[in-house]
Amino acid sequence: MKKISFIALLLISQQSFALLSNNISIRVRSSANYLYPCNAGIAENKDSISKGVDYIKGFWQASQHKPTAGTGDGVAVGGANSGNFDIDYSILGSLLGDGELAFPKFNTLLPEVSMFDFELGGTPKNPSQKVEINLESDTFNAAYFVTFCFKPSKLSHNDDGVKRELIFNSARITHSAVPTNTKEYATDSKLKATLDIKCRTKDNTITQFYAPSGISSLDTLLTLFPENTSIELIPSNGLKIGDPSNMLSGDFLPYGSLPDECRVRFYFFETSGVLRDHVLLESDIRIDLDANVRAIGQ
Amino acid sequence: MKILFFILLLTLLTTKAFSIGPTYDHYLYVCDLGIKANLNSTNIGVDYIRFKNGAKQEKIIGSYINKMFRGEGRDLLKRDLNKQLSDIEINLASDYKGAQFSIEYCYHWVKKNQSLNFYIANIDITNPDLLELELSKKVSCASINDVGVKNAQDFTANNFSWELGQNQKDLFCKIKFTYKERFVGELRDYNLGDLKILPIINIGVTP
Repeated sequence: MKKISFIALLLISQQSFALLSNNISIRVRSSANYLYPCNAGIAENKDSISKGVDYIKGFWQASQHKPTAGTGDGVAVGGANSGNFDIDYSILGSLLGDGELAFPKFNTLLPEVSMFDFELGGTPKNPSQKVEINLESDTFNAAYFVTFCFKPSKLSHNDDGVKRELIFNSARITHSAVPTNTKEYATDSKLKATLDIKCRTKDNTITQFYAPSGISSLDTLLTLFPENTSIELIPSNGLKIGDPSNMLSGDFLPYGSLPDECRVRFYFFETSGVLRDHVLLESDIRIDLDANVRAIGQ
Repeated sequence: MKILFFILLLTLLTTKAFSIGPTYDHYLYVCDLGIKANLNSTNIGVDYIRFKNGAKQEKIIGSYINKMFRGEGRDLLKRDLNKQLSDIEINLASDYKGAQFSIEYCYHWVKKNQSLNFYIANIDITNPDLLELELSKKVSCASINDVGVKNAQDFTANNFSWELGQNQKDLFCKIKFTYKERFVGELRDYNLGDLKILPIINIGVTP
């Protein structure tokens, strides 16, 4: 009896001086927004007398969006009457098809439907690779573009507790001629540039098109881009996705939500139409694109 | 004989008023959270903590403007066991690594009778090493005696005992873990990283 009573007392004693332990595990999730070059395309003015080959040469690797996509390289060749890709929003398309500049279709390095799976060379992990644009046609009548893809952080897909907005703050193009050049490519070709942005939801139920400012004519659409200069294609206050002031067409995304993907396309147009020089003109065109995703109200 | 035994046992198990030793209340709970983004980042997404405060979903955002531990000073004290913070998720979507976040646990011990005068606080902390996160820890305890005199001390060890002074009636400890992402300035992967951290705290007061 004494033994049993002692056990009972011991139980009470242990209960009174118990240690407490925490049992809350904390989950840490990490995923960045992803902005990367993913495609390029080339075309020729169908009304020109161009002959010769204009082509883009590029290397690509699997993007983080689809790590199993593999690597590859290839060329896209511009042709007066060929192409696999239409400019895909009506205002730019109609302006460029108005007879002054008629680029019916572009050929692209990668199909538009799968370009999000790939990252073009010249990435931080592979800086030696560049996209090469080789222009051999008789006249300065080529057009080409470089596309950047944007995927918002994977965390934004399954958490509606934080309202976010996407702003493209800056889209800068810097043209630098190789010092040994005796001619100036951008000046001679009257190179002009512009960009447009297309964002959409995964199932394409909502698509929006944006441009830096309200577009009413080709003059305001294309910015002359002479040699050794930088131009900024986005207004100083940035281009906010969801803001109707820069939206060209499409449906509205709900306030505070992000699209599932965007592509930002930088267009370059040779507009002088004069005979191309035989002298080799080499230029570096550097594109800096800066986008922020931030919490609304912060 | 058997009846006598059961009566005695029942009395001992159900009547705290007659139990031997002091009685007290104590609680261990998450009492504060904080987050800030990498200060050097020029292109940051949203780093935020999401958690349940009782049944209510809440969040703290480490924004690119504030860049500070916004949770500091927030009163998230929840001694009510039904309203404690739970389901804590640290979500890091900034473009560059280097985010910091903190999780603070509070321990509160209150003596309920005067039967013993001397007590020892025992704390044992285990925190697994993590490749991705650098950990710093701060433990501060303060006790108050019967006449309101406070005795405070900070500790650096993971395992220690602290002899409280005479006639202590109240002990409050804060155990703050601050995690900082390693590889500061590196681009964060788009692909999802997902890990669980569980710092283990065993804490109590014994005579």
